[in-house]
Amino acid sequence: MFVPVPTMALEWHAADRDKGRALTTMRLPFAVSPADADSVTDELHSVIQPIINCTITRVGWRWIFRNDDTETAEIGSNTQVLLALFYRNEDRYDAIYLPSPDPDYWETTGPYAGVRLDMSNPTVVSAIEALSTALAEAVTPAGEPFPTEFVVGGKVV
Amino acid sequence: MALTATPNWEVSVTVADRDKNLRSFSFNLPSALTFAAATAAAEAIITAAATLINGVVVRYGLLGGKYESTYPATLPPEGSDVERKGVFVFNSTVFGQHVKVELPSINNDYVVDGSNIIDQADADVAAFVDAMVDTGLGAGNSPVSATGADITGLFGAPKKIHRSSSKG
Repeated sequence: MFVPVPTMALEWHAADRDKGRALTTMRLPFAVSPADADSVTDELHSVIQPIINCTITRVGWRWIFRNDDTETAEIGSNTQVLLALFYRNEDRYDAIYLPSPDPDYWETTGPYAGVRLDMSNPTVVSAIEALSTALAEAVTPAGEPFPTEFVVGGKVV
Repeated sequence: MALTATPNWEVSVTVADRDKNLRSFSFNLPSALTFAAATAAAEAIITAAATLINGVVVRYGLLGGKYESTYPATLPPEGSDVERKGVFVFNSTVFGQHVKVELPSINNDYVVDGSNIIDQADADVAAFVDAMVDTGLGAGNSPVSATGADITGLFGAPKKIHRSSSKG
């Protein structure tokens, strides 16, 4: 189960004339809503900017939830990644990368044994269906709806 | 210059493997989602993804915010240097728990001549300090310590320091 950490972070990213960059982090109560974080950002920005002479390039609001389950990872490695491709159009696929893929779900025979998701495995099929359904809420970094038509999944290292 | 809201929620998910190596993956959600809807959508994706991996999801972060739309087209001012810090250390309601804030590129006009002390008596500096102290922004939304303790005031005189920089 995911539980909130005590505070959320207000992350001030700054840049100077010579492309130097800095990050300053402040904390706010976790219960601060995005709307309140917005107004606090504006209020703090109005008192910080006059006393500095660099540019505040971005202010991030980060709420973190940690997993309080004490489960232990199975044998495996984060150096491997599952690349799952979703069809957008003839020219473009969108991807999601999942670290530490379960080796039980790779194909076991044929030229793609050990590298491609085994879509004959019912657990894989239901997981991909669930992932596709859940990704319907997601967008790309450009704000386009994330495609939900799964094409193929494979191992990358 | 004005800050503009970022278009998306960015969700960053951290996965630990058996050897406690951490690696993350991320995806985006529309900023039109409420906080509750965004956390629900994020956890639905994480739960589905977790079936396919054998690492453990240890945490996830929901990141929103604002950005400066005129940067980098408009360069920061001449003489700006993010390694020149204005260091403010605050007391909190928990004894011994301090909150340190290093403002980048503190303007030298606010440093007392012949010293590295930042002039607390200056109205602009005082406005920043007041905003950091509990109730300064009203509605209990002023910054707090990492554990959530309210900030009560300055611990000592704020100072200017200059860190070394690989850029010279």
